[in-house]
Amino acid sequence: MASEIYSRQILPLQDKIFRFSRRLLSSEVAAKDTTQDVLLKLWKLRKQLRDIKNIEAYTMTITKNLCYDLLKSKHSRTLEFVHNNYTKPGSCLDSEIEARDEASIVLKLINELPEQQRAIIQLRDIEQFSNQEIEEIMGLNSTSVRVALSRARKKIMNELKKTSAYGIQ
Amino acid sequence: MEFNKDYISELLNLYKEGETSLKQEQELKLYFSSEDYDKEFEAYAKLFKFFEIEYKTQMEDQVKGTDKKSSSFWINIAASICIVLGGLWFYDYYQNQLEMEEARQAFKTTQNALNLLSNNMNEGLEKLEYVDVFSTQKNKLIK
Repeated sequence: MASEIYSRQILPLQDKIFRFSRRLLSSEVAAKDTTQDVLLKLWKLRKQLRDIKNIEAYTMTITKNLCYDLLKSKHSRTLEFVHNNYTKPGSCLDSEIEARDEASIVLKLINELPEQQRAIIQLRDIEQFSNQEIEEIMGLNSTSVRVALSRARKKIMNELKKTSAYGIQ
Repeated sequence: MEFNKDYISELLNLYKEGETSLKQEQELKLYFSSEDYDKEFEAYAKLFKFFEIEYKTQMEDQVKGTDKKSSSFWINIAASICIVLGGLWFYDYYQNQLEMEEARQAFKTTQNALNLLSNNMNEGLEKLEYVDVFSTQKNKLIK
């Protein structure tokens, strides 16, 4: 039954879709919309889902494509998404704020990366996809995935080392 | 879990080159999730902590799937059983009805036949009245 496959395998991926599109679009609201779009698209394709070997990677591919389309249309209209602050207000614990601060530095660094590197870092280091899956999702060969990953990681680490050398900015 | 510092720094070098396996990255995550990592790796710790936090973020207002499938499945089965039973019952009823009709038909024809017979009999009876007349006349003469 197609709808059963859908609710068993697609719906649990919502957070992954959301995080990935948020990383690419840098906007919480746009990411939510995109997540809905991805879910809707997959619902329409639910009859074909059983023929797909790696549903998770397939979902991510759809997410990437939708995000790229959106980014392209935004660029052409010379509009840019406004960077939202992701952290929710409301907590007043010092340690938590500090942790958030540190996290927000990393977040800023990641968001400054080029689109592709951002996507690959997200897929690999946060969602823990294998390199083969990332190749499939991004439509790249293994060398370019590794090179992009290494560049992104080196860039983040260099910046992070700088900030820790001068203390938190 | 105990980690050797040299081993970790080797892993981190591999990590920077994009050469670590998922399993090795898992080890690094584990290492930095405990608070007693080497301060030399402070910058890496920030990065891995961020990954940890980021992985836990969830979307609000998630789409929820309903598990109606199984109940409607049983309803389907119950409905088909009802239809089959209903069909059987109707077939039986119809068959009975046919038999009754046949019996009624047979009864009617028998009744008709009997009526015919009795009518004929009655006709014969009328002729017998002359016998009655004959006997009264005879009684007049012979006293």
